Amino acid sequence: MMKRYCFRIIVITGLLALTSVNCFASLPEGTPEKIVVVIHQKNEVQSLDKKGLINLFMGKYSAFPNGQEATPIDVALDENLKAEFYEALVGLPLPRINAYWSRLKFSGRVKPPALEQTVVDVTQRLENDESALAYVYESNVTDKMKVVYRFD
Amino acid sequence: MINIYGLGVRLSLFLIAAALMVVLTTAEFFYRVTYENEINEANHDIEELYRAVGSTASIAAFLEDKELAKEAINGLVKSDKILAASIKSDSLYYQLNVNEAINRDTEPRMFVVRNPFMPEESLAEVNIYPNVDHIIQQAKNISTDNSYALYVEALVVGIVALVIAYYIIISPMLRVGRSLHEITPGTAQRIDIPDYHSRSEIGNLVNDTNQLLDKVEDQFSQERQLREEIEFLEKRFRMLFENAKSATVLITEAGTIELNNSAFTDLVEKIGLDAKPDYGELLSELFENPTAIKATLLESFSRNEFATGEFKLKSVNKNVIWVQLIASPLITEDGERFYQLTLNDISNRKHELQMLAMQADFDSLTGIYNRNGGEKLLAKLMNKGHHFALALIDLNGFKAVNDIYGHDAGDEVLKFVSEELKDKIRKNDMAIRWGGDEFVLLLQAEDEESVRTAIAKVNDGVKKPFYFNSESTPTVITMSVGVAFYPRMSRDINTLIKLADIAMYQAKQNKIVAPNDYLIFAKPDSHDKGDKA
Repeated sequence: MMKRYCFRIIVITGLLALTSVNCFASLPEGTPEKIVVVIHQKNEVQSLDKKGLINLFMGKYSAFPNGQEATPIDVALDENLKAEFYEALVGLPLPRINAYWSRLKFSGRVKPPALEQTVVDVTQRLENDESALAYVYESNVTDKMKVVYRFD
Repeated sequence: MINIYGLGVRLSLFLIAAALMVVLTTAEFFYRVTYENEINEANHDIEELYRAVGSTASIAAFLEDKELAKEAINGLVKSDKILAASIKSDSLYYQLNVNEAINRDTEPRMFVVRNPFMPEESLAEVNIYPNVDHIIQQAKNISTDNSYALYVEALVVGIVALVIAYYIIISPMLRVGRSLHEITPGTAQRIDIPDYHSRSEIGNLVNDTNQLLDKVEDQFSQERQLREEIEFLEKRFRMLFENAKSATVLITEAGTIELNNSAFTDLVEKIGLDAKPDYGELLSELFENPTAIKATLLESFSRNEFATGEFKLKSVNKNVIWVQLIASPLITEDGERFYQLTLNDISNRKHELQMLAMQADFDSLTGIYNRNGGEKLLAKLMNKGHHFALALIDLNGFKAVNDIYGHDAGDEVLKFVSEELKDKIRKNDMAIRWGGDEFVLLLQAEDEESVRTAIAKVNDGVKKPFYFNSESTPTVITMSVGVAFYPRMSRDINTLIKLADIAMYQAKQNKIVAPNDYLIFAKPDSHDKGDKA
């Protein structure tokens, strides 16, 4: 009896794994979950273009076009999200992005985006930090965030 | 070891010269090509160098980060190939050495710096000024090195060719040459073919040479054989010539002796003449009568005959030499005229003939003239017109001696009488045994008185007593003599003898009665009387 239960669990887990793999594979093309760039609700900036995003996330500027300080935020633990974001933004894989920042680490003048561990942390940061600029899945957008850029 | 005029050096020099010519004509081309290549390579290198710093420049332009820009530009200029570089964007400018580059009139290579994240956006431009001097110098150095390498290669090719030529061609040829020197033509010696050359040109040459040596050897042996045959023949001919008993001489037309054998020398020696190279035309000086000899021989030659005859040689000493001469003219192919003269010494034969003649004319028992000789003598005297007295002598008592004491005793008497006759007559008188016990004396006298004197002398000798067989009684031989005068009494020999015979017969009548009247002179008119009597 017990054995049969265990077997069932294994089968279900396997099936789940399969579906999850399926989901993963089909996500970018099939029904990809869209990534959006969000800021604090109270931030005056209404929208940003791709170039503006690049300038902010890649360290060229540290302020929004209206002069207000901007703090770009990376998700440390959700590699998928991060990778999808940078792929969509500059067309480069994460190792290249990491290498870029390693290269600039010693110049001191430019800083990489601030780090938050999870999407939840990011959500929280966005609620508290008015200069925050982050990317989340569209599904994770809350009322406290303002979407300023949407990847097609 | 190496002959500077030899093939190897020649070959090498030609090779080096040819290689140098090729190098000379191609060096410029290669230099150009290398130069172009190096310049292109340098340009390519500049692109490579830019690519290496491109991302840094790109980031610098993006971030407008001067430090990064500096890093990129300094990195570029660090290369020898780059003299100066600059980066320029709206908000960024950095350069190194550009002024110097512009002073040197250097054209920059321009590279567009793109946004690292949006390649479609140009952010800046980087100008790189190549270090043209350095690049050209580099290219020149490399090209020059290449050219030198080519020259050295040509030299090496020449030296290698010399070494190869020496070992493959010259050394075997030298060996062949040396063995050729040691070869004596005509022997069985041959040249060894150098190792590994049995089918090369040198091998063929050696084979051909050996074949030539074969032929030479054949020819040599043939000639040697021929020479031996000729020598053998010559020896025989020489022997024949030298040992011939006949003196043989080959003389020129002028008389110079070209060739003579030892018999000739002996002959000349025998007549006491000195050895000379020339005895006058046709050896005429050797003969007693040179003009006669010449005339005889030339007369024969004119009739195209060889001349032969017996001639007496001139003699300085007492030797009397007669030769049989055979002379024939010889004309060589060149038209030169020679005479071959053969002189056979016939003196002995002549002597023998004379001896024979003597035997015919002399009495073998007594050694004085016999009747035959006497008649000849008479004829000769008469021919010469001599005046003489003919005394016919007959011995008295001779028959008795023969009968009593035998023929030997008779012979003794005859010999004795002959000796006496010879002994007692004068030098120019002749004694002849006319036959049996009859003798004739031919006396050079024209008057009876001198005849009487002469005969008396003879008679005195003959009268000597004989003692035969140890007998005590001596035998005395007397003689009766009849004398006739020539030509006073007759010019005819028979008549003369007849006259003397008649006179002698008359004297014989007296032998007993008047022994002293033993000598009677013939009377010419008594001839008929005598016949009658």
